[in-house]
Amino acid sequence: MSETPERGMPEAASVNAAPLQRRRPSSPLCRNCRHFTGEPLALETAFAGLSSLSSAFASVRSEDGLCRLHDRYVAGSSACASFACAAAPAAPFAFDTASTSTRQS
Amino acid sequence: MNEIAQPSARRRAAASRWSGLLRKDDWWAIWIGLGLVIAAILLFAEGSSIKWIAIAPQKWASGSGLAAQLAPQGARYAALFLLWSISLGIGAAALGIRLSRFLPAFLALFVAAVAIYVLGMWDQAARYNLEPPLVALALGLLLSNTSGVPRWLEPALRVELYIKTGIVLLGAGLPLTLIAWAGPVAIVQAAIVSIATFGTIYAVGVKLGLDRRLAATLGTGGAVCGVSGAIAIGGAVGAKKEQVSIAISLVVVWAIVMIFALPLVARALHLPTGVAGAWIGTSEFADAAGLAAAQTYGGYAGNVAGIAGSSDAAVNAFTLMKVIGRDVWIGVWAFVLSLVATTRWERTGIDSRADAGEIWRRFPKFVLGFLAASAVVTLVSKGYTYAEYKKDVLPSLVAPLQSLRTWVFTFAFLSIGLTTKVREFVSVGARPLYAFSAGVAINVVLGFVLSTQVFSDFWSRLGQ
Repeated sequence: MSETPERGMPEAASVNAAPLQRRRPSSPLCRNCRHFTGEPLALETAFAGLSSLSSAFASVRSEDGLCRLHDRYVAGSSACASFACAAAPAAPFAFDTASTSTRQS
Repeated sequence: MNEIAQPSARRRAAASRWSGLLRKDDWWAIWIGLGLVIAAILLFAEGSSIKWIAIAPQKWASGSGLAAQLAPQGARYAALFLLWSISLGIGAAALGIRLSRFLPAFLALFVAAVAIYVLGMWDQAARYNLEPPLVALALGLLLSNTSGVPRWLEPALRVELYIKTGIVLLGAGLPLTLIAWAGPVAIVQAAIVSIATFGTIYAVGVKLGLDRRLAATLGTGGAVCGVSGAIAIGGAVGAKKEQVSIAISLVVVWAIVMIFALPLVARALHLPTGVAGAWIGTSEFADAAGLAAAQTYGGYAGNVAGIAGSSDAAVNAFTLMKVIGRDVWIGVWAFVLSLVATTRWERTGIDSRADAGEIWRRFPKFVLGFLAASAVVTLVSKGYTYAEYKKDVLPSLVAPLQSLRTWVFTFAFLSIGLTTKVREFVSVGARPLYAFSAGVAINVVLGFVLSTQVFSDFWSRLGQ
């Protein structure tokens, strides 16, 4: 079968693309990694002041999140060699308020 | 196996794209704001109005006068609370905040908002600087940085949901023709200041030895859309967590200083409301902070001698400048900086890609609601003469929506103060502070010159 790039993030202006270009939707992107958290309320807790004048639910955040391994704030579509598959592939914005938030639950 | 996996993954990707309609506060601001606008139009078309529920306190001069005003209005304030608690509660629940925790917290927020709004209607309020946005902010800051905010109140403190809903409602009071007339000037002015501010912060930051990713995150925080700009660019360039925190801390502190400083200076200089709104829109960092400053200044119209223009002109000019001139370009900034980061800057060990789809994904979608609200109300008003508009459309349709907008902005201003805990901010260090402050200086001075000199006539006319 042909190895097509992921929908929505293919050829255009792709850089550093060598490890990425053969990626499929189930491929090792940051958003599918267990080191990554994109859960909005957790991000608002991690970044003091974020909810004062903005929000982790804002469109401008797209699906960025925190990489706990590299201690960086990265796009969900990024990737690295240390990918570790998350236990359950979750939708980028799915979360459980009660278990993850210390501020709002 | 891949043949089987791919369609389901496609469905998942598609579902994820659609889930944004329910999981982003931008979209909920549209659903709530446009829902209210459409309800108001339907009632107006039936010869009725939402003005019964869109109650607002009136001017008062004595305690007895205030009691006489409020006593018969209890049912209307209760209905207003129900309207907001249901509409905003549904939005908050969709964002993952439990309704059982949102509602009691929102009741407290609503009661505080009523008290602040009533205080702002005191006929001596302007004399003592008791403008509702400033009082709401100061009270919130005082509580959150002294005794602390009780945890049960936190679920209702959703600044962005409130401010974006208010901006959508604001569209109902701005004719589409006015947006088309003033939009290009706002874009030109904002572009000049944004590029100059970003360039200053970035250049000074790099000169002082800051990492380029931190310099870019600080630069867009100062030049484009404050904290939202900082998180958008932080993610696009793969900044360190600490670097995003530094940018957020600096933006919040400077934005709050500007909420108090800009109206104060503009008042001392007796700037017309439209001109002051344009200056605030150019030089404030975040929408919520800027609207607090602009609404404060609008409140001086008719109350402080020497300030020309209508009270709405400050908020309208601010919105055109900030939302149309600056906010909508964040996706472009993110795409360009992501491209530069991945091709020119030091590698981080994380492979990211610059993708033009970023421009739409990061687009602040609530702007669409703002434009849609403007378009539908413009369409409804089309068949009326100016005299008929003033007599029928304004009091029955537009003014009640403006009243609802003021309420939701007041919830936002209270929430800003109550969520800003200075002691939680990271230590930013001297070099980021110097770089950001250099950008602030350029931003404020250039914004002032463009608003009060170069485009002064234009922004003055907006207030007439």
